[in-house]
Amino acid sequence: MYGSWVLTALLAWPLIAGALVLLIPARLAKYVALAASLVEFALSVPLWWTFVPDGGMQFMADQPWIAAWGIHFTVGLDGISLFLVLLTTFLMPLSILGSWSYITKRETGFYTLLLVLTTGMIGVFVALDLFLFYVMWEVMLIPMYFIIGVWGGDNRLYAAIKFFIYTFLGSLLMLVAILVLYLHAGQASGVYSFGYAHLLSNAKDLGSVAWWLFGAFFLAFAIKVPLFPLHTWLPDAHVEAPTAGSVILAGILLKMGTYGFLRFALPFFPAVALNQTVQLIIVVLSLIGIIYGGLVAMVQPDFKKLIAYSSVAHLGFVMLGIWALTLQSVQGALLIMINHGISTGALFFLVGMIYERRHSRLLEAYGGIARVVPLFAAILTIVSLSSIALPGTNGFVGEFLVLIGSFRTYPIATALATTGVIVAAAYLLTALQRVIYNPLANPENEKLTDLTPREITVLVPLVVLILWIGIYPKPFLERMEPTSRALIEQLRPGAALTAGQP
Amino acid sequence: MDELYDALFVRPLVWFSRVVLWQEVDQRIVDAAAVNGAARGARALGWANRWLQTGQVGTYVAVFVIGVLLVLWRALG
Repeated sequence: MYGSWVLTALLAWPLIAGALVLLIPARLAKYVALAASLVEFALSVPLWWTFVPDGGMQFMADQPWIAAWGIHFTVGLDGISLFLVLLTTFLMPLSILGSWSYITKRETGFYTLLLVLTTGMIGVFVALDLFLFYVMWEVMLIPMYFIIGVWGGDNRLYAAIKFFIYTFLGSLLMLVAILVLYLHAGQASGVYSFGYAHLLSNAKDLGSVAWWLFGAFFLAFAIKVPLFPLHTWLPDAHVEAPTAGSVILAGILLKMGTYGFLRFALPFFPAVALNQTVQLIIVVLSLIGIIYGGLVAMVQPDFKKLIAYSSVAHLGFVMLGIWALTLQSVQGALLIMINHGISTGALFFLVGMIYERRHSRLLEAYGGIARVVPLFAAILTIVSLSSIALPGTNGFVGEFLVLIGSFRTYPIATALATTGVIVAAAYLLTALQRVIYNPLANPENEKLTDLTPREITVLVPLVVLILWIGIYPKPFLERMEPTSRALIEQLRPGAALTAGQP
Repeated sequence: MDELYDALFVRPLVWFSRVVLWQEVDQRIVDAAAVNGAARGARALGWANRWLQTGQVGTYVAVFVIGVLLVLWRALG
């Protein structure tokens, strides 16, 4: 029962709620949006228990949409998308609560866009029809463009247009590739359909066309990851976006690239993706992301920019883990995707909260504030340690699995990637030192007020997850394992069997 | 010992990250030259081709006639 309507409901409800927000007075917008996002979260929570790890694709729904062209509304969930959907529904109420006092103009528009964005993001993760996937990809793009462009910082228009054109360039090439797949499958089988399973089973004899198609998907997803050198939209977009925008960009939108590789680019074109040269290029770009992203983060004067560049490094680990294709490395990659959403989301919330008080994001504007705002300092410390991947926090489990799993496939690259962990400690611990320790030099910081109950409510769920995944990751890993195993088996027959148990 | 490490490792790495990686590679080569360069290139292409859309019907007719002549020349010649 629940299984047959839940995904449709998760997609429809934010749109209904968004329409409702448009009809009510602006001062009520945030209350209704918060309530709606909590309902959405409550709807999604039973997925956690009803999900069957060995069940493959589940919670399926399939309705003809534009039947003449073989376009269906097909949605489903497996061990890869389950956590991304839950992460989305989990972060949305926090993002709305975190925007409570930050967004003071055009509230109706802001909260409506956040709700529409929710549908787009969940749609990307559950779509099993490539036309629907493409539509959702664009549905996600447009609200974010306005969120950055209208409610962003001083340089918001430049950042918003850069974000839009970058993503759009990749997604249009991806649309062409989807159409080629559709026509190829149609000619080969006589059935014209955008269905995921149909296109996948007919993608085998593409020949050299597969290289072009992989290239198009690669560009769309590599921009979103982002892989070096396609990453420069990210610092601009993350820094200029309002707090909720940064949290959602880092927490959820960045995962769409790596999700796309797992769901589409790898299964559709395994011969190209696992070609020696392609592997080498992707592993080198991931390594550059890890080390270069970390080193550039280390020298940022702006706290938000530091977090933005640290995302490039974290996503480099995810790419390395995906391409290493061992059970641990793929599970680790999936876990880092979740962890990054939690820890980096929390970091952006914290920077946003201190920015609301002092109107500066520069590290040098602070110093010694641990004595003035002890609670803020304590949570910032916990979250930073989780982002550094200290044992006992979620970050450790993910990075450890990626490193141990990737070592089997790429020993040298993995050894180099480990230096990225050290760089992460260097940039986050020095940032921590400069913000909350050191002498209290600036008298303006003496007047800072500590976290309000509302802000504590935003942060506590994130801290709980940081510690839960850090101490007892089994419930997460066991739900990911069968899907990861099936993916590896599909791409590299025999590899999953030789890989040890985590 | 701390001063030695600072001079040997920390300062050179921070300098390298700041000046070479961030300011030179990230901001100048990737962002300013490649990314914004592509944007400038697209704008320059539009600027160069603006004579194609002057709104003057005479120009359109002239281009059209030249095109027809070229097609005929290719087809018959």
